[in-house]
Amino acid sequence: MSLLELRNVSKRRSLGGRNVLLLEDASLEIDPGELVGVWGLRGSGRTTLLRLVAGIDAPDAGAVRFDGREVAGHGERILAREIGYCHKSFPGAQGQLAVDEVLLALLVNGVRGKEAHTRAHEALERAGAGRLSARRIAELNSDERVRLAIAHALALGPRLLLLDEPLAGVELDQRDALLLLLRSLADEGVAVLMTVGDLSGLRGSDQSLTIGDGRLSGSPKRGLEPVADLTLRRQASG
Amino acid sequence: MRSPINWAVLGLVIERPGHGYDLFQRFDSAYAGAIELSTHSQINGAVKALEQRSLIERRHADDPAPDAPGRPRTTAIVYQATTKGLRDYEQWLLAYSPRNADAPGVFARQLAGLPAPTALAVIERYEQACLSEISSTRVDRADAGAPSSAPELQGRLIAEEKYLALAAKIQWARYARNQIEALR
Repeated sequence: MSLLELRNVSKRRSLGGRNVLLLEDASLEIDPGELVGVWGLRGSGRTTLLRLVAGIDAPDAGAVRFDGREVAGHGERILAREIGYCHKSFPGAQGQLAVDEVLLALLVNGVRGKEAHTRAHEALERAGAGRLSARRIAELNSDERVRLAIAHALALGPRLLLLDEPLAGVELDQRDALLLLLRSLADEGVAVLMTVGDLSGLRGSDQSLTIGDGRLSGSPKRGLEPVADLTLRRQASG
Repeated sequence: MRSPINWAVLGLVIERPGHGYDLFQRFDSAYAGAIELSTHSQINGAVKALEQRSLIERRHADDPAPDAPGRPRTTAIVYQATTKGLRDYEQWLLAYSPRNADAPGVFARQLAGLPAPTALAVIERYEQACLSEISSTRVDRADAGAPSSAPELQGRLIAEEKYLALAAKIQWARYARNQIEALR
């Protein structure tokens, strides 16, 4: 059993009187220690995918299971403690210190006093953001905000880390450093699922996927699908 | 079967049955600048090889039935693909690797001649292979600085060239998929 399993997941949304397909029949498995990149353009369904995995939204069809449990309906309980979600734009209070933002995540989840301070600083250090602890969020650049978002999620010791476009707006010379950070987190056993708008974000990942018009496709987990199977599946669907 | 000429001729026969000279003309038009022929007889050689492998068969131009041995020849002979030929051609294209160093346009030309469901399967498989390859391209340390030796420079240049080429192929695969689906 994989840590995260998506089985034939579909999601629709009503938009301006139209029933828009956001995600169609998506299946995916992620094990601990895997770094998975999903490349797609804006509107392709990549954020929908992450929101379903996080349990923020429920699928219309199919199942999303985290460690064997259905995520839909239990998202709030699983999210934060076991699934860390780094949003596209870090939503912290602009005037707040970076360390306080991480502390807040711990306090909300019942971690108090000295332990909270220790864990907050450890998470910032692990995300390569130790020097940012006394900086205000409004002063941080894109790279630093991503690192703070990762620290915010890491503080609670998630088993799965979700990142929505962590490389967006990050200077080119900082992108590889961020990818290496995510790779090292995966190598320590955290499962990492991220969306990217630039194909360079797929380098070094264990599974590389693309998403377009709500359809997820890409390099299968256990080697390329046998040609005969692929032909038969296409014949069945076509 | 390794010859790109043989596969190209098979693709042309699948697209539309034709006689030898017709195949030569269509080959010349479709693969000009991509696969060069030294002589016209290479097409005849390809036809012979395909026939021997039962990938194509003869029939009379005005008769859809395969040519029977001993039957009097009253009309021109054309070649048509067999079921095996169609199946082998599909399997060959499904196994097409992004590492292939074919001239630009050869794979696209062959893809465009397939029925839409097969073309979509081929492009999906091609994209899968590209994505697997791109995952394996290296990520340099941001603090690595300038290359310190010729081998290191070589390694970085090769990795970047490989990444950029694969990125372009993945985007092309997405474009191809959309175009094929629009045609359905």
